[in-house]
Amino acid sequence: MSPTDKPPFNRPSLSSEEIFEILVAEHTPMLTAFLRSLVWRQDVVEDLFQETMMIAWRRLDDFDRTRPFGPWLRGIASRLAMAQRRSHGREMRNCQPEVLEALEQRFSRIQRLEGDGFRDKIKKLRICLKQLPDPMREVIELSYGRGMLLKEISTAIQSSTEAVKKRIQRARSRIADCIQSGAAS
Amino acid sequence: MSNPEEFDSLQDHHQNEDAQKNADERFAHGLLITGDEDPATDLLRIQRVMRQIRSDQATTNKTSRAFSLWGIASGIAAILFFGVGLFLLNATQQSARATIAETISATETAGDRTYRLSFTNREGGVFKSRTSGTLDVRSDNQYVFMDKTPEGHMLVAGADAEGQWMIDRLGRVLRNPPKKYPSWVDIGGNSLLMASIDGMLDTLHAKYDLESLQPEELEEGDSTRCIRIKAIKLTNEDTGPEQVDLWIDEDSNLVRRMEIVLGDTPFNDRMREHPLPPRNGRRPAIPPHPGRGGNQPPLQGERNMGRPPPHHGRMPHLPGAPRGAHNLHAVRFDLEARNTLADDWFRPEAHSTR
Repeated sequence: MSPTDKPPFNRPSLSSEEIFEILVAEHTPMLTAFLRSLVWRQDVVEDLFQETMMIAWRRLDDFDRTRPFGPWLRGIASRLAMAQRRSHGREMRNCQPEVLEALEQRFSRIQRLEGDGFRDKIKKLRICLKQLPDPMREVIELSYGRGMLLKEISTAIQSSTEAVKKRIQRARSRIADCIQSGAAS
Repeated sequence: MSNPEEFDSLQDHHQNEDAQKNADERFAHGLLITGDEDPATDLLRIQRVMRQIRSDQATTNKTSRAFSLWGIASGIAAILFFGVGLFLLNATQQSARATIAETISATETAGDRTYRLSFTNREGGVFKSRTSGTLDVRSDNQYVFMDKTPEGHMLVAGADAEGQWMIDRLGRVLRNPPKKYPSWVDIGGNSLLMASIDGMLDTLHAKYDLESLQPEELEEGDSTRCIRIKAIKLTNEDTGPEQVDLWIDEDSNLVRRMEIVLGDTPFNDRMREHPLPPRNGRRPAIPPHPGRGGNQPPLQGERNMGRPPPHHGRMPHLPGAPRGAHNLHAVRFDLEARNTLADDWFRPEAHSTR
């Protein structure tokens, strides 16, 4: 458990609310990334984020304080997301429990990395991006960096939409491998 | 990435591949979007959470003793007669226990009540609902269930001071009947709620997230104001309903309606589209989603998506329920009447034809 994963419950001078605020601040980027892995719509992500944190607050007494806080939060978020399939059925269509479990493993590995916060822990992401072959890096930058749609990218690079989609898929797999190769070590 | 079609690429490629690849892509997608996000957005999220916490605390401090706890406790006490209340009791804040204890004794004087039951089954991906059967309740161990099976048999089962009983097809009284055939929990393929209550009593302990929603009318055209409580299961365990919804009369503190959703979930969408049948010929209003529960406005550009729908999970096998009853999706109880039933009404002899 890295320092930032250790819940600050043993600080007697802090109220429950203050402790929780620290936890929220520490885990907001991680939880946001996790939720983004589950659902596409930004408004749904924000709703799930808020719901997750409120449930965590209401059930803080149930939390085992000897364990890391992140997995507990993600567990709540997973169940809420599964519960909201109706709101985003297409996105969750293929997100079965085993996928959620695999996703949880990946985020847990990231959480164990050294770093002051989630963004610090994923700083390797930039290195991984640089290591991508040029065609893959290009579509990732156009998609995630500039927010271009598949159709726009396919026009820009004069390729079919399907080819762009496949290239993005392959790039994402490479990035995941790259990040995890660091996290596993 | 701002197009749902592009998010689709996370999955359609992997529909027949393993979970690891799917998770890899989702994982990278989450990191790529979040890693590129302005950290100031995190601050907005944190502030919004803390605002809601403070707002909820302020509201609780002002009103809990005067209204909320009493209302919730009264509702919980009322449904204790169903047995369902025990898990709610466990899930409720410790501070409410003393109030609940007082309320239970008060609710015991509520008299006999008759509830109309509605069942919704999933059959081949299609929801079929029927209103069928009544449940007379005097206390948690005095009740009578009556229903006509699809085969035309009258099914009568209940409980009295000596335990559970049922009347078999030949009109004979069976004491402490087995849970399986000729089980009175099996009604034309439906698993009667009693079976799930049995399970709930023993297995559900604080595994639900309880939320008090805005009071509302029971249904359109019915002026009865009801306290609303929603309980959503927070575990992945097979037992117990995924969600329990309660409508508690503000005046009498009796449960006017209880809905349990047993789960399975790709179909809950259609459940919304084809809700349980209307009571007294009227189509029930679908409970509105009152928002995320806080008084804070959404973030700029954000839409208020409301409360989460029923929690989803694998279809539970209810303890004691026959294996063939797995297609039961939801059960609703509507308070139909408050009567004073005969003293022997809850004994099987009052219903036996032999």
